[in-house]
Amino acid sequence: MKKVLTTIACILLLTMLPGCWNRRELNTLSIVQAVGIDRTDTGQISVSLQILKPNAIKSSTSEKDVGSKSVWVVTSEGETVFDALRNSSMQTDRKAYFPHNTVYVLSEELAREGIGDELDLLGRDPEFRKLPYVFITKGKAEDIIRSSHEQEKIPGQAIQKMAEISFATSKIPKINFLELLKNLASKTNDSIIPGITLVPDKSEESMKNFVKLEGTAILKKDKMIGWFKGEETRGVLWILGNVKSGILVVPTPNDENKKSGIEVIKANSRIVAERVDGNLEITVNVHADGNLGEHMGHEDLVNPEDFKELEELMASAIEEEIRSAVDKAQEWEVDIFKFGTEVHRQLPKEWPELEKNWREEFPKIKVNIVVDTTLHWAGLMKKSIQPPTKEGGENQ
Amino acid sequence: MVIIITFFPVLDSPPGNQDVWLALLLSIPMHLLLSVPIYLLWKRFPNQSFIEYSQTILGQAGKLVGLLYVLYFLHDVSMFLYRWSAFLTTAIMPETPVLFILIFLLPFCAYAVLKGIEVITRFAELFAPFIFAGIIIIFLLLAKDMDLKVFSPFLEKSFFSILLGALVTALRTSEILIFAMLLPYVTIKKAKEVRSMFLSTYSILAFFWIICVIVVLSTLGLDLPKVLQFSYFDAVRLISIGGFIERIESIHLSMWLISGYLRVALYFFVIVIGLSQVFGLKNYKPLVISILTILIPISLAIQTNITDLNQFLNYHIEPWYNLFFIFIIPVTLLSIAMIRKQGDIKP
Amino acid sequence: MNRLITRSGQKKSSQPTGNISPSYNNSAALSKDINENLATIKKIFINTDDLIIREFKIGRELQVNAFAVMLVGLINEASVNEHLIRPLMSLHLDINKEPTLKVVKESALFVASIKETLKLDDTVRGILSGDTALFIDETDRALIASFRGWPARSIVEPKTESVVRGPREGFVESLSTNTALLRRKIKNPQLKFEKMTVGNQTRTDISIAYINNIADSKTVQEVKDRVSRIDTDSILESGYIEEFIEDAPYSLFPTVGNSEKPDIIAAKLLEGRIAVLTDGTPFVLTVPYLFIEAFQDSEDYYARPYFSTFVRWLRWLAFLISVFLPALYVAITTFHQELLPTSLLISIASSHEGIPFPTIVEAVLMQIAFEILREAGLRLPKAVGQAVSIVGALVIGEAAVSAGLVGSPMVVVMALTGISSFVVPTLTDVTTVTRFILLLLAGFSGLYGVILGFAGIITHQLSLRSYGQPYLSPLAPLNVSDLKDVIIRAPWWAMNTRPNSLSKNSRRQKKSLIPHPPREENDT
Repeated sequence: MKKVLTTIACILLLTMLPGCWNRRELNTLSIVQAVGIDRTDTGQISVSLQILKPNAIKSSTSEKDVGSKSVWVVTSEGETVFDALRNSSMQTDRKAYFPHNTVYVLSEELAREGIGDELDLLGRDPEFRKLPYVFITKGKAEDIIRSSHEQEKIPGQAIQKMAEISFATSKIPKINFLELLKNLASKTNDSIIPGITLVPDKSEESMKNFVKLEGTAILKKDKMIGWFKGEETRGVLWILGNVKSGILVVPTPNDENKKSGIEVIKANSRIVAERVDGNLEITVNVHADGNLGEHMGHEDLVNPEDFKELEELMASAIEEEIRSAVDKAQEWEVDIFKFGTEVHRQLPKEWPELEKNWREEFPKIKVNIVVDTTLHWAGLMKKSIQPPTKEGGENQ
Repeated sequence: MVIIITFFPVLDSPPGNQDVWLALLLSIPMHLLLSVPIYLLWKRFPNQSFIEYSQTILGQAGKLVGLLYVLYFLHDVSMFLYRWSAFLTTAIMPETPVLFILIFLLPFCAYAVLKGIEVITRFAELFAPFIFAGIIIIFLLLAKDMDLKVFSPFLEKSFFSILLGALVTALRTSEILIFAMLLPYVTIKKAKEVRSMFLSTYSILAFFWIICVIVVLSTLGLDLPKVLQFSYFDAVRLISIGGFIERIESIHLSMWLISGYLRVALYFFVIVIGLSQVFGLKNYKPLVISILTILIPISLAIQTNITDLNQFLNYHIEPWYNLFFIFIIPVTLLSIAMIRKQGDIKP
Repeated sequence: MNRLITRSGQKKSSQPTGNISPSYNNSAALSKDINENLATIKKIFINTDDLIIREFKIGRELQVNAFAVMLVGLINEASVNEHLIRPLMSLHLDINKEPTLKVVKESALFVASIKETLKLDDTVRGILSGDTALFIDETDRALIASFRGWPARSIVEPKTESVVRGPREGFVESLSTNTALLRRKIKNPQLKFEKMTVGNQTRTDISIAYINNIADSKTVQEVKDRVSRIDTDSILESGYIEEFIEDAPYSLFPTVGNSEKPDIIAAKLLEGRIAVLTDGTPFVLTVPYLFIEAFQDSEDYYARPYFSTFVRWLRWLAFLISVFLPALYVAITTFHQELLPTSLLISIASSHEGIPFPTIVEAVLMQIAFEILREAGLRLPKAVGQAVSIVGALVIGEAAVSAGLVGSPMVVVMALTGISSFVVPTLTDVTTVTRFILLLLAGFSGLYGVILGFAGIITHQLSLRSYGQPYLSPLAPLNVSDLKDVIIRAPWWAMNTRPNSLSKNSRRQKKSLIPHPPREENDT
């Protein structure tokens, strides 16, 4: 009995001696903060990785040269994404480490051909998490990865944070990888992905480029087919219920030449699907709350009549945005509003039939838009800064 | 005094549509139905474990039955070990060979088995609250990401398919047989308490399973989990609160490891006890080492790659295989016992 | 020739103490002849220069021969003079009235504790314990009178267990003082002290204390059995006894508790435990001992319940930190970096740049260094103490980090671990060893190893019993009513029962003793 125990003990110790296979010391890792995927001219996949340099961060308590030296970029090519990624290890002395990656950038060129193939690795490999944000860029993804950001040491993190404050305008959606996967897995939904571009740095003569979020890419299944502008995107977001804040510019009541800004506080939407006369009809009910944020003009708008008019102006502005989005989407035959899911929920019996031909059914849907708005507060001022003009204003 | 709480880690959510939770709820009565023969057999032979009374009922042939069940348990454990190491290898420690993972785990389980069933059950008792709490915490942390609209429409498919789902779910849990093996060690002798023990165990199991399902479906949607291999794990990875509380899949991992350890130890114990009962050995302890050495190669040899595993676990094969062992054989034994008027017949 | 003899003589006397007979015949009786007794005593105590043999004559008229034997230093000389020698010398005896011994014992000696014995063994033992033996001519009995008095340490606050609020008495090295201290706490005739002697060479007195109607009589018997089975040379400290009577000698975890303070021991006795007091050491053992007792401190019961509950949780947390933190740190930074938030990972990674050692090696080295520092700190002479601790902690730590030998997160981790390990002082040894084991496991197989190790340790703990009590009760098997003293510190008016597992006599106090201000008569 004792002998058996000792042999087992020996075996155990022997297996433990060389140390475990999976052990990775921190200084053998290349921590990747952003990944860009491009298509090269030769048809291969090119991958750009933005890698962290902990050394630089450690010693950069003095703010001499912020940003540029904390990361470096490695580009490599391969036949598939996985291949390209592994090929990058021929340039890095440390194996690439992805769990802390927060940004994926895909080039438009790649997206137009369909991104489903390329994204397979990102969903399958456990090192890639599902929460990073996805972006599409008009040019090359590599350029985005190489860019820098004034305020953050690590540009990848800067891009991530930009995505997170995109709610401030709600003109850009915030899409993380999971969302994308969910949409791709669904039989009827199509995806939207925010766009990102480069803006040259106007200060000094530096060669740096800064990033900027702009536009939204629309995908049909997994192929990109076009761009939506800011307001159209917001239209989509109104329907999806993802508008958290934003500024609606409306003409000032009583003075069409001036504009006022209304800050959206809250918005939600309800989608009702029904059959009317044999046609599928969907009513989008949007409810928005806002505050008077800015009033350019002399008038004193803080009174019930003007507020009412503002509300109506607000509603019509919203309706316009939504209408433009819906029209364009129906024209392109992309269900980016998740109408399919709603119809499934509300008309379950009809759904199996509809599902099969959803691509054709979608453009036929008559979409009614009903917007209901409420204005609440007006900030710290009751009247405008400027004194009212002679017509119709109050004294003092 | 020794109340056995058995539970097992949730790997993949069951197939089906959004009414799955209903199927789970209905699996409780299914479970109870399936355990009826075991329960009746226990009533007749309160001090004997399943393997023991199969010998009592069938005589020498009972030994064959006993052996068959030992093999069944062995198979079950090996599959479980394979599943478990599949998860570890894929998600957590990719480069470590499976052999090492198993070699590392098994001595700990063997130690627990050597210490006896009481230690194992006390371990379960000690950790069960933590694991339940863990599941609930994960549920709460994901609450903001959950989209409960996923669960409508209600009752989309026919009720029959839901019932079938319930049956399938109930059949996945071979814990019923563990009960059968371990009941003689339980000191509760009254029938009513045993019944309530069955009921409470299944209800707790079903409850937590439902929570897991809710978590998965509402965060990942309906279509995605069918695509993902380890849906619950992916859901856990999504937890992100305040930008700070992220990446707490370590909690999930620890719960997983502990429950896996427990389950293997329990099965291990049952196998060893079973073998000692088949061969009439007084003390089961020497068998521990031998079983230990067999388990490792078996669990490696049993499946070659992940596709076999997936297929077996699939809806079509595993439940019916289980049905045979959980229900059909006990019913046969029970009828023979009734015919031969064996055992303790109390009103 | 001489040398041969002495050598063989030496060999014989250096036999192993399996043959533990003293240098005289145990069962020898005393003889009636005083001279013979005198000779025997002298022979036994040959070369013992601290022995006093005082020969005198009892009685003014009668002049009976007698001698008293005592060991200098163990007796209260003044007392002996006044209360033994003087009264005997000035005694009035009538011839043929009564036997001398009886008269002396009953009427002459002014002493509180006196015994009569036939056996030589008892007499010798008495002398060695500090009593005075009185031999009288024509009697084969000896009187053993207790005039003990030796210099002893005064009752001060024990250094190892100091409190902010609570009694500051601590046990001393003398068994009788210790029993007295306990008696002062529990004025109950049910508090029993049963004396036993262990140790063949040292003949140490020990006393087993318990409260009769609270403690479990089977356990008491078990304790007595185990103590009587001890067959060894010496018992110098209660720690020796502890190792002989504990349930799980191979286990890392202590199954016998100890304390230096009478109020703690008294409280434990009142819960139904049994205490073993040992002469020569202020540390008193208690059995059974459960794991949770390490987290209960006497001060908890004197301070207010909310704070005590908080402090209890803090203790649990500190214990967990001191056991798991280094292992978790190593496991996560080398195997599972994905579990760290990005910014934390960056900080740790940047401080790890340029460090020559892999993390696990770093951790082990730091751990060893810390233990060395701690051990040295205990033994330092006071004068040098402060300087060395400053040198050790600050300079070495700082310098090591600046030199790039270790990373600063590692120093932080180690410091935190070290400090936490002192929060639960009784388990310091346990945590040190466990920490090392888990650290090694973590280094080899990451979180997987740590958790399995944890499971293994818990399994081991679960299998332990301390005198029949499961080691981890009331956590497992779960006993909810006992938990009121484990997880929280229930206020005194809520502690209705004693820990159930320990004693059958569970009701401690009346229910609903919650205090309230006096009620008005008009109130409903």
